[in-house]
Amino acid sequence: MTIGAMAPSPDEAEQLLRRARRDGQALGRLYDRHYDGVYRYCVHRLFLREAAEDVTSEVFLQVARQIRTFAGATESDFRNWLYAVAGRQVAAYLRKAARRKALLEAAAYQGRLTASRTEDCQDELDWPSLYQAIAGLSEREQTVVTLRGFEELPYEQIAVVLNVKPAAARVVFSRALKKLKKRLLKSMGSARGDTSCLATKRNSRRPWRS
Amino acid sequence: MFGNEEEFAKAVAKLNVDAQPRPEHQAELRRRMLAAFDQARGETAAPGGSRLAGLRSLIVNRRFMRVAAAAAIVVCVVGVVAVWNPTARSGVALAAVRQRVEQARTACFKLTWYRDGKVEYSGEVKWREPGLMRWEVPGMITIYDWDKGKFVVLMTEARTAHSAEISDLDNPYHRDWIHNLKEMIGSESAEEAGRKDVSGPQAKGWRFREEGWVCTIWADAKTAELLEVEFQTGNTRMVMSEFVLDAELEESLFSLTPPADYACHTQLQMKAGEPAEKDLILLVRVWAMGNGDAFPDSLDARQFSSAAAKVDWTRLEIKSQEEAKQVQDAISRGFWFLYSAYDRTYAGKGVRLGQKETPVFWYRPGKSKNYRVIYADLSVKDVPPEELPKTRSETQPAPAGD
Repeated sequence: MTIGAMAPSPDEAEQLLRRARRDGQALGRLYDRHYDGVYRYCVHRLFLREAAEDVTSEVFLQVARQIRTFAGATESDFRNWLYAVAGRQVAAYLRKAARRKALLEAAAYQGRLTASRTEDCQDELDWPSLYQAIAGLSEREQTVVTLRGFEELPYEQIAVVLNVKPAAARVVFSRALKKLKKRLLKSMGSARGDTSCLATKRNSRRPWRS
Repeated sequence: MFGNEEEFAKAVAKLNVDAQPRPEHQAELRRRMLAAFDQARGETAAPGGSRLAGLRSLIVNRRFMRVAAAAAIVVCVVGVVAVWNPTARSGVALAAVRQRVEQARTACFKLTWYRDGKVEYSGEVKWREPGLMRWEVPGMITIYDWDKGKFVVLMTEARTAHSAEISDLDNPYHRDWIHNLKEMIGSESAEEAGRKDVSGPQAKGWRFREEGWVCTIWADAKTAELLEVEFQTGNTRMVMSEFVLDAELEESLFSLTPPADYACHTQLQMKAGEPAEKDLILLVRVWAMGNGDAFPDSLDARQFSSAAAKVDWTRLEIKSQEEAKQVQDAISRGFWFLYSAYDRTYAGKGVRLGQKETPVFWYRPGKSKNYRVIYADLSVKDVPPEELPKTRSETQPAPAGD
């Protein structure tokens, strides 16, 4: 989450949240404070900018419709709610197999470009490869990896988002890292020398700009 | 390659991920979000534009009645949900069950209503997040999108579709059943309900008590899989059973677009508003007017459309389209109020509209100890439980139909 220099005190943030239930201006301020975080989370889950923007839009439109009945009291509650909504919206987005396929194709294509630029340092981790590996994890593992690995949220907060205990979140992350490492090592081994994939798809998707 | 969390963090820090948002998108979404907020709040909602050609046609072409009947169908099925009354979270004893339910992304279950120990109706429910639900009973399929407040009712024999969009669904009870189930499991008020066999597995139960309702949740004592949820109030019992969580459910099951061979009869827009007793009084008045000034045998939504078709609407002194729309909305809210009220009794069978001192309906509002009794002359009184009429002929309306 991005909180600027003018971030309000916890008391002010609570007041802002209370007002946001009935006052558009206050809701707008909350939006300004949390848009970046939600968008970034969506980028890390969805790879493509367009997909991330679509899902970010769904998240905040849902917030606009439901803020009046939101039961949380603190800005932390609000942030956890945002991530929970974002997680569900991402899952809903990915449920369409065609979308998932498009994202993976874009990542694969971008990965090939990246690999061709870094032939002399092939052990370096690149984002498209990592994204492909993350996409192979379970939904829960993907959420934890994104929130912990990219957003650097504390386990206590991830636990609230996922409705589990902090220790469980820690275990999920640890297991996910092992799986990721295994997948990446496997894909690095098999990808070297493989230059054929997705040649026909090259121009059909706009890849993530690097 | 990373071997632990710290190394992973370092690897991630070196990645070239462009996560910088576009200011255009941020600004555009801000505008859309605030517009959606205003609309949800009703501030900028456009005044309900009537689709009726004119007051005369309103009265004579029966379109109004069709709309009201569709409203009856929709609010009937929606209203059932309002019996749920979630409480605060934090239960510990139910943690395993709750975790299992909380993780579910789809759910299928059987829903059965009992009255006086007999099955009144039974149907299949499919649920998928976020807030999508499909409920099938013989002759009728209802599909909900709770987030958008959109519903469509498909009458499978008549091949007709009735769609509705209900704004202001801000009551927390107006959510899909699984959402509310998730809220309920974990309630502080949970108490142990012992064990029983539920279609094989030994089940462990927890009980919740909520203002006239008792809810019992049964889960597999070994695996914490949800097996059955029961609701009981008065002589009415609702059972959700045969749960299957996380089954693959096609998106098309939740499509709000009626099949091509269905005739779209009504497209209703209404505000949930704040249903009030006066709306219910208007509903039973109109119902009686369409029934030869006699109250119907039961408040069965399936019978309302035929009664409404016989109403002489001029008796309501409707002077404008706007007033007609208000009456229509009030009837819709009346159904909402009717099906949202638990602990209710209908005793209007054989009673003439206008009869004094003759109770036709009573219910207990919220946390009140006393009941509100509506008489045949449409007057209302507060009555303590011990002074209620003895008749309890009709406590639960049948499901909606055409």
